[in-house]
Amino acid sequence: MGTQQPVTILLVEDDPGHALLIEKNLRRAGIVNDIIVLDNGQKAVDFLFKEGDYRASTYPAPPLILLDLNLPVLDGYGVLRKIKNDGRTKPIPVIVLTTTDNPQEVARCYELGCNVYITKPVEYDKFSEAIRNLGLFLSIVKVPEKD
Amino acid sequence: MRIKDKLAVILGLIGVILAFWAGFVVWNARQITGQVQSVASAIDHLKTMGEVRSRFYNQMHMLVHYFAYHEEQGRTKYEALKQEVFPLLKSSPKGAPGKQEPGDIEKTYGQLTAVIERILSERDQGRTGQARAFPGDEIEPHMNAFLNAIENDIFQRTEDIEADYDRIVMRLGGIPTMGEASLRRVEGARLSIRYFLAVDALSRAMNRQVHELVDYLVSGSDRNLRELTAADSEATSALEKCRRIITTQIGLGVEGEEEQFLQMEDLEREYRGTMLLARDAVILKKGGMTGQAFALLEEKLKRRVDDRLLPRIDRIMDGSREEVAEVNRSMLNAVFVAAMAAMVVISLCALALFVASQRLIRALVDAIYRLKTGAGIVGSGDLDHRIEVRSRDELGELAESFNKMTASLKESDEELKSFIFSLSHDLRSPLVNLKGFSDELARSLEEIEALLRQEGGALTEDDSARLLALLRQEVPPMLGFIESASDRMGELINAVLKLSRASHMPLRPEMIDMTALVREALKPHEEQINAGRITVSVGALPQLLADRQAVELVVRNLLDNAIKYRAPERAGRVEITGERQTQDTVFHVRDNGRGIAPEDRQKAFDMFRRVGQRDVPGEGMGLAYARTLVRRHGGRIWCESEPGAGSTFSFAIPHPAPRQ
Repeated sequence: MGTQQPVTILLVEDDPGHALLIEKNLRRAGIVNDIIVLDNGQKAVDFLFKEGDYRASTYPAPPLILLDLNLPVLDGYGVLRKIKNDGRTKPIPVIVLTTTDNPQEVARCYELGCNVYITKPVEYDKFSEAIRNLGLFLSIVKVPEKD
Repeated sequence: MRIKDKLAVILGLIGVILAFWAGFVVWNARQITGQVQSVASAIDHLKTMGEVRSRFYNQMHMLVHYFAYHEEQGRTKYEALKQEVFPLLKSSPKGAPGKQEPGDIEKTYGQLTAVIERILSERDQGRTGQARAFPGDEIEPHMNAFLNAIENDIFQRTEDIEADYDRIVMRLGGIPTMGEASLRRVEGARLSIRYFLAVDALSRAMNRQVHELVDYLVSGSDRNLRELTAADSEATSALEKCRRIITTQIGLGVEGEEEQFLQMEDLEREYRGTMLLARDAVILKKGGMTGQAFALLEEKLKRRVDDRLLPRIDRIMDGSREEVAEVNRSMLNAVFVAAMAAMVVISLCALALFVASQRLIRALVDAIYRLKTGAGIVGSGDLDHRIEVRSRDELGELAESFNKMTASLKESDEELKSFIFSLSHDLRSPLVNLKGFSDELARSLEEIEALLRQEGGALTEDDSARLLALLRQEVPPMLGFIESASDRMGELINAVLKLSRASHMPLRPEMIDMTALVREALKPHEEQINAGRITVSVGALPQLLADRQAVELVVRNLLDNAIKYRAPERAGRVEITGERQTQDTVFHVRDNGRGIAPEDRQKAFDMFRRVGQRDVPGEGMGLAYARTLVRRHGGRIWCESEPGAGSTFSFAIPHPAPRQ
C-alpha cells in the first residue's frame, strides 16, 4: 500500500467513537489511504453492489473491508455471507475486527469466508496498539486489482 | 427422635392393641370353657337332687309303712335309705355361693331326721299314745321344709344355668370367628335343660302323689285328696311343657327329636295308666276297703311307678343330660377352633402390618435422605443435579417439584450469567471510547500548547499566562479524573465477570495437601517474611477434598488480607491452623493486625467493599470471591475480630456425604 497502490479502506463500524479512534490510530501507523466509514451492514452491502442509496457512488480504488460483527440492520455475518457468496465481491479481502474472542464465533467467520479475524482489545491501550499493528500490516498487504 | 423411632412407637402401640385383642379372644374362650363346665356340673347336681328327692319320698313311705304295720322291715329300709341320702347330699357339687345357704338342705334334713329319731325312740320306749298313726302333724312341717329347700336349690341352680348360658352367648360375641351355628346350639341346649327340668317336675309331682295317696289311705283326710288333685295338675302341666319343648325342638330342626316325642308320649301313657290305678285306690278307700286300697297301692301302683314310670323318667332325663353334654362338647371344640383361627388371623395381620410398615419406613427415609442430599448438592451450586422420581405418591411429587425448582433455578442462573456477560461486554465498548478520547484530548492539548508557544507573542501576557495555566494546570487533572474513572469502571467490570465465572466454574474435587498449598501461597510474600517484618506459622493442616483452584484462591485471599491489613506499629504475625471435625474440615487464618469493627464484619464479604482504612490498594473483591467459592463447596466462611488486636478468618468445607 502506501502511496503506490491506491486502496480504499471500507470501515464498517456502528460506534462512531470507535470508528474515529480506529481512523486516528491507522493514520498514526502511516496509513494515508481513503477511509470510508459505514455504520450499518445494509449500507455496506448496498455500497459494494452499488444498490440502494449508493447506486450512483463510485470509489476510486479496490476496497479492503474492516468489518465489525455487531452491526444494526444487517449484522457482520450477513454482510460476510452476502459478500463472499457473490462472484463480483468474493475476492474482496475482509478483515473481521470485533470485540468477541469466542472460538466458535472465530470459526464461524472463517467458515463464512473472512480472510482475517482480529479481536478488538477492550482495554484502550491494547486497542490502539492493535490498530497500529493492523495499520503496519495493512501497509504490506496486497489486494486484488479493481475491475 | 428419628422418623424410624417414631414409627416404631406407633407400631408398638398397634401391636399392643392387637395383643390385647388376641388376649381378649383367648380370655373369652376360657370364660366359655369355664361356663360350660359350670353348666355341666350344675346339671349333675340337678340330677342328684332329683335322686335325693325320690329316695327321700321312699324313706317317708317306709316310715309310714312302719308306723302302719309295725314291720321291722319298714324301719330297716328307712334306716338304709337314710344312709344313702345323706352322703348323696354331701357329694353333690355345690353351686354358686351366696345365693342360698348351701347348708340349708342339709340343715332341714338334719332337723327332720332329729324329729323322726325322737319320735321313733319315744315309740321304742313305749311312750307314745297313738302307736299306729303316722305322726304327720309333727313331721309334715319339717318334711315340707326339706322339700322346699330342695326345690329352692333346684330353682337356684336352674337360674344359674340360664345365667351361664347368657354369659356364654355374650362371650361368643367376643370371638369374631364364631358363627350363627353356635348360637343355635346354645338354644338347643337350653331347651334340652328345660325338658330335663320339666321331666324332673313330673317326677316330683309323681312322688308327691304317691305320698299323698299313702297319707290319704292312712288318714282318710280330704286335704290329702286335694293335695292329690293338685299334684296331678302339676304332673299334667309338666307333661304339657315337655310336649311343647319337643315340638319347638322339632321346629328348630334339632336331630332325633321325633324319637324323643315318641318317648314322651309313651311316658304320658304310663302316667295316665298309673293315675287310673291311683283313682281306683281312692275309690276303694272311700268304699271303706282300706286294706285292699293299700294292697293295690303297694302291689300294683308302687310297682308300676318303680318299675315302669320312674325308669322311663330316668332314661329321658339321662337322655337330656347327654344331649346337653354333647352340645357342651361340640361348643368347646368350636370355641377352641374359633379362638385358634382368630389368633392366626390376628397374628397374620400383625405380621403383614409389620412388614408393610418396614417397607414404608424404608421408602420414606430413603426418599427424605435423597431429598436432603440433593438439596445440599444444589445448594453448593450444582444446578444440574436431579432427584430420581421413584414412586407416584406424594414423595414422588415432592421429588418432581424439587427437580422443577432446580431446573428453574438453573434457568435463572443461566439468564443471570449471560446477562452479566453481555452487560459487561456492552459496558466495555463505551469504555474504549472514554479512554480513547481522553487520550486523543491529551494529544490535542499537547499540540495546542506547542502551537501557543510558537505563536504565543500575539497574546497579552495575562491571556498567555491564563492559557498556559488552563492547559497545564486545570485541564490535565480533569482528564486525569476521566481516565481514572474509566479505569475504575474497567476494574469493576472485570471483577464482576470474575465473580460470575467463580460462581459457575465447574469444580473438580481432589485430595489437597493443604500444608503444601499454603506454603505455595506464601511465596509472593517471601521477601516481606524474610525481612523479618512478618512471621508466619503454619500448623499441622489436615488434607482437604475440594477444587484446587478454588481453594488456592481462597487461601491466597485470606493470606493477602492478613498481610496487607497488618498494624503498622507492630510486627505482623500470621498463624494458619486447621482441624478435621465431625461434619467438616475447618481452617483458620489469624493475624494480629488492625482488626475489624463488629458492624463491618459481615459487610467485608460483600462485593466491592473494603472496610477500615484504605491506605493499601485493593479492589474489595477478595472476600466476595472467597465466599462464593466456599459456598460452592457447601461450606461457610466467617470472621472473628477484635479491633486493634487482630482478626481470625475461618472457612469450613463439609466432608462429602457417605453414599447410601
